[in-house]
Amino acid sequence: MVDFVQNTLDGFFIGSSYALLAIGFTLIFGVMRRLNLSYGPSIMLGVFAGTMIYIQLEAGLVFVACATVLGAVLAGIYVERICFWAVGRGAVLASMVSSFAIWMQLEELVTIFFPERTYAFPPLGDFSLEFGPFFIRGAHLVMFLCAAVLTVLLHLLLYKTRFGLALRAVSENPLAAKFMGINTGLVVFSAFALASAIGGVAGFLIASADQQITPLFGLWATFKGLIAMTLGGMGSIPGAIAGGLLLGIIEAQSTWYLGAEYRDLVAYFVLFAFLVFRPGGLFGQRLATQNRLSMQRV
Amino acid sequence: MLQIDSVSRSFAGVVALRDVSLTVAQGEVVGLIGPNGSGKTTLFNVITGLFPADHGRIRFNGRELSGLRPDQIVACGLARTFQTPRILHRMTVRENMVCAAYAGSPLVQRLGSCAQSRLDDLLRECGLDGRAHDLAKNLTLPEQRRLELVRTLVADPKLILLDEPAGGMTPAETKDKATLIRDLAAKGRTCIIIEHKIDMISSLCQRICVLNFGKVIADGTTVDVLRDEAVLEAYLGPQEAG
Repeated sequence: MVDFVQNTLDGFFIGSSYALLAIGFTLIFGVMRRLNLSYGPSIMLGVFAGTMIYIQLEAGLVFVACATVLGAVLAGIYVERICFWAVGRGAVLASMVSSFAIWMQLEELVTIFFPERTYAFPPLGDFSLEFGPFFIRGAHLVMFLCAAVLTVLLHLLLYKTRFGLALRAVSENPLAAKFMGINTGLVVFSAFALASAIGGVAGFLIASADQQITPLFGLWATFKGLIAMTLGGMGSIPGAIAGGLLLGIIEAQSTWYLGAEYRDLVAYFVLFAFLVFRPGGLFGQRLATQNRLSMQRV
Repeated sequence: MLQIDSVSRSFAGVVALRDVSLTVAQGEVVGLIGPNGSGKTTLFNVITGLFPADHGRIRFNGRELSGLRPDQIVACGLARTFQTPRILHRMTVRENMVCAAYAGSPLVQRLGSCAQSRLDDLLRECGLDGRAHDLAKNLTLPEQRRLELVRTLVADPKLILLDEPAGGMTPAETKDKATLIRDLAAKGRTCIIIEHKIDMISSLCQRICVLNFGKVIADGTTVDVLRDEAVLEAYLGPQEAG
């Protein structure tokens, strides 16, 4: 029982970073109704920007964090301009394929400039907490706290500011938003930048916890974010949080009980089960039903 | 106020608008009628920037509208409604209004108490004050249409394009809607109304423009246009019209 609770705690804390990745995916999907496959690689580019100033300039943690977020935001804006703005709103498949192409492009770019297999990343905090038989890594605790604060801030932004109102309007009905006088292009652009900034924070937290970074981080971040978003329900922010936490717990439990080699296998199995039996995820059932009904009408 | 000069628009070779010209003066209430597929809504879409015109020019209060985004056209003082009400269903009635009030204003600006009370007044005028905190998706169709219309008024437009404002409504609801539009016109707002209910159009509009196959086939006073043979033929077919 102690092991089960410890694994659940570990999974919960690690899952908070997956939740951040899923929130970023969800913001973009919510506004555009399209998948951005190069979301993970743009975060990876930000993390490499952070590691570069850490290695070259021996910069402190705050500067590394800023460089990571800034790098992710710039890469996210690049992706938005190339894959989404340039191909137009109706081109769902074209934008997804072009985001895959940009994914490859960014990964190649990083591989050329960072030819080593792994690079060091500064640690976030080398402390730990123990209470009774349970143990929490400091880096995981910081990760969870940052994720919680960011989620609260995002909620305030969405529900207490005029930008949030515009974002929700564009997300719900872009045509109505346009004719209410909202510059939908600017809102989409800002949503991309915001999602990339959240992804940058997630990337910084994850890389700090692992204390290393590889060019495969983009692939990893895309998969984790995508799975967490799908488990929680595509387009739902509470769903993204729940999906991230659930994925973290599933991975931690399967690593402990089945072995590390089965971790991803179990996660994909659960994803598959969700897609078959509950395609709308934990919180997105209504959206899935709406989509199904609209397809029937067509 | 609005000048449309020789506007044409095609979709994949199908001509939706053919050399359409129309001038609307300030304070006029113009009916835009025509059979289904005659290009009425396409004309609204071109005027409001949803699609660009292939040829021709559109000027509003002396300003060229070609190349402007829909939100920029709204900022010029031109608003529209749709056949199917385009409201934000997951937001409350008041949030829909606030959203429209914020749009186009500087990012840091907050709604002052004056603007807040104006929103309340507008909701009261259109009979939605009791439903201000209800989700828009829970409104009836006539209420949704009223919300869409009153939301356009938030930006204080000079010209309102109404696309089938009484579509799907009962005769009593249509009468209420006509009263609401008449009140708008009495306050000096210019309106162009697409509507299939000829009784409503003839009671509201002094002037009617008729489109058929994307072309203007009649433009004149309501009485003259409704007697026009070309119009009767477009609506009823050549035998019945004769």
